[in-house]
Amino acid sequence: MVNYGGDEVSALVVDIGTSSVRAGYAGDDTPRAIIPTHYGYMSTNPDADVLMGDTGENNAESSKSKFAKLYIGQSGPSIWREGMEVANPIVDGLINDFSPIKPLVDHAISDVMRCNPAEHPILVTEPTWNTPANRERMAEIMFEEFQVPAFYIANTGVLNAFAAGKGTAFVVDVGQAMASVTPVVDGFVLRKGLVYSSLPKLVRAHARHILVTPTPSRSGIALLPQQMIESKNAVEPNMPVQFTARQDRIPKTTETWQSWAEEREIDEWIQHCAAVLDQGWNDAAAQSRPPKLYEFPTGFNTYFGMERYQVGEQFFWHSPALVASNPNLPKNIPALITESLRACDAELRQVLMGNVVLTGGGSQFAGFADRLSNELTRTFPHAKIHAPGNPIERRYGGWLGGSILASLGTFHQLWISKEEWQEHGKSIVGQRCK
Amino acid sequence: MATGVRVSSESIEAYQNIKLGKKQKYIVFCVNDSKTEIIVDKALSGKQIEKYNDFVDLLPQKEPRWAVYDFQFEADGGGQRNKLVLIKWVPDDAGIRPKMLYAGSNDELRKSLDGIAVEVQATDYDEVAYEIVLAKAKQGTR
Repeated sequence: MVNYGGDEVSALVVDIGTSSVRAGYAGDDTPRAIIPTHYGYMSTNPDADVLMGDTGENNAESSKSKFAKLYIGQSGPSIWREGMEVANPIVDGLINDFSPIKPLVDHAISDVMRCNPAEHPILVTEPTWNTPANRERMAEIMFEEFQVPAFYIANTGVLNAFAAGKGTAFVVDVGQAMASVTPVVDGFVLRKGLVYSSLPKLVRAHARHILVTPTPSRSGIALLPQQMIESKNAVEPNMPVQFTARQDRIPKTTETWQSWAEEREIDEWIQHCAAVLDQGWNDAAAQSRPPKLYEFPTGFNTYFGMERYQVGEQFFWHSPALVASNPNLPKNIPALITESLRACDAELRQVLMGNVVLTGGGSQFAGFADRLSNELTRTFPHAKIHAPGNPIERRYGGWLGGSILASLGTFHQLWISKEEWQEHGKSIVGQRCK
Repeated sequence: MATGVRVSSESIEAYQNIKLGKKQKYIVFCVNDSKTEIIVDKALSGKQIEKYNDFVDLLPQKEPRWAVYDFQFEADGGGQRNKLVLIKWVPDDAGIRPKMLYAGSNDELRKSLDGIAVEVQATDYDEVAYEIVLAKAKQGTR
């Protein structure tokens, strides 16, 4: 048994998501460091069709990694650099490439928090569908590379259920890349009922389609980011744009940076404009809502009316034409819920529907919680949704749950200590962190 | 995943008094101030309770608790039955910290209370209404 946690040394909590890496002290209400999970890099591959900039400033990592240079954090991918590629280690919610994980976590803890990880126990969160190999690799990185004195890995599905005060809950988590439904029963994930899909990606793809497709009242919208614009003049809504692009940068921009930057423009637009109709799709209802004015970095601006609701509708309903044209279409929210409940025992369904927990940044779509509630009560009249009104609780529910858990003095019994790691090796992770 | 909070021996004793001694109708449990143990909430547990509804009124509006109630009812085929009901009370208005603390300690308490027949997870008074608990008791499942 180790004596960390408690009052003397506060533990650290790290939550690695598709959009951001959240790190902070256990017991805090918000993460101290929130950095993008996307990172910029210069490739070392001599065959790569990129220019090698700043090769003289290689950091320590570079000698053994595939990166000549990494650009991480708030000044990472968002600053345009000649030949800089952009990548993300997370695929479908899971860490797919561990090579940038150490630099990302190191940046969040050492540079942003100015804290030495070797002095603090660390709690890391994992998605419900994480693999045993992945969690063991995470333990290895923490113990062997960060030299942490103690480690624990906690499931975000259970953390979100607990943070809502529920041992038994139906956790609907909508993130940046994945939407998942996790039945939690008496504090444990009911594996057979776990379902997930890359639905948020489809929603973004639909938003892109709407923006770049011309309509009778406007032409297709260029998703050129701020970094590529030299100057612009203000124009009236729907008028042709007057801007000068940074022609010098265009040929030196990588495809990965460009697509990252375009996705960001789409995200910004979604956050400002997109919404869901709470009562299901209805042309008249969509048209009667007030349109929203939005200006793109090019200076182009227009009012979005019905289109903003078409985007959110993708979470709940897919047209038969879309389904027919794409057999691998990600399952929408009602389909995920139906599939999950089908796998659960009949008497459990009522209990789960009475304890729905809505979490994740993607669920903050305007109207999402109301729509979900309406969809559920149609089939389950007693359905009750717990959706934290506090945006921090909703967006960083997993981190916050881990923060409260790791701050409890009694939690020290559950940490895997460095000594235990050295004695038992990887197998201790699965035994201890259930 | 658990909080590491333990159940005090006094809590187990109080539970045995209900289960075997039939001396009390109910007990309310809470986590102690230093967040290390689950103890009997003395402020709520000593009162004389005649009706189930009076017991429900004891549950605080903004704080989580656990409660065990010796629930008596007429079985459908006739005859009186008694079942021990565990209520996991976490109102929506409780803060996120108490919610996490109580939900994360549920399992430890359940393991210590042998013989609970019905479990109710509730966030408001409607979910612990007499009819709801009666239906669950008759079902014999949670």
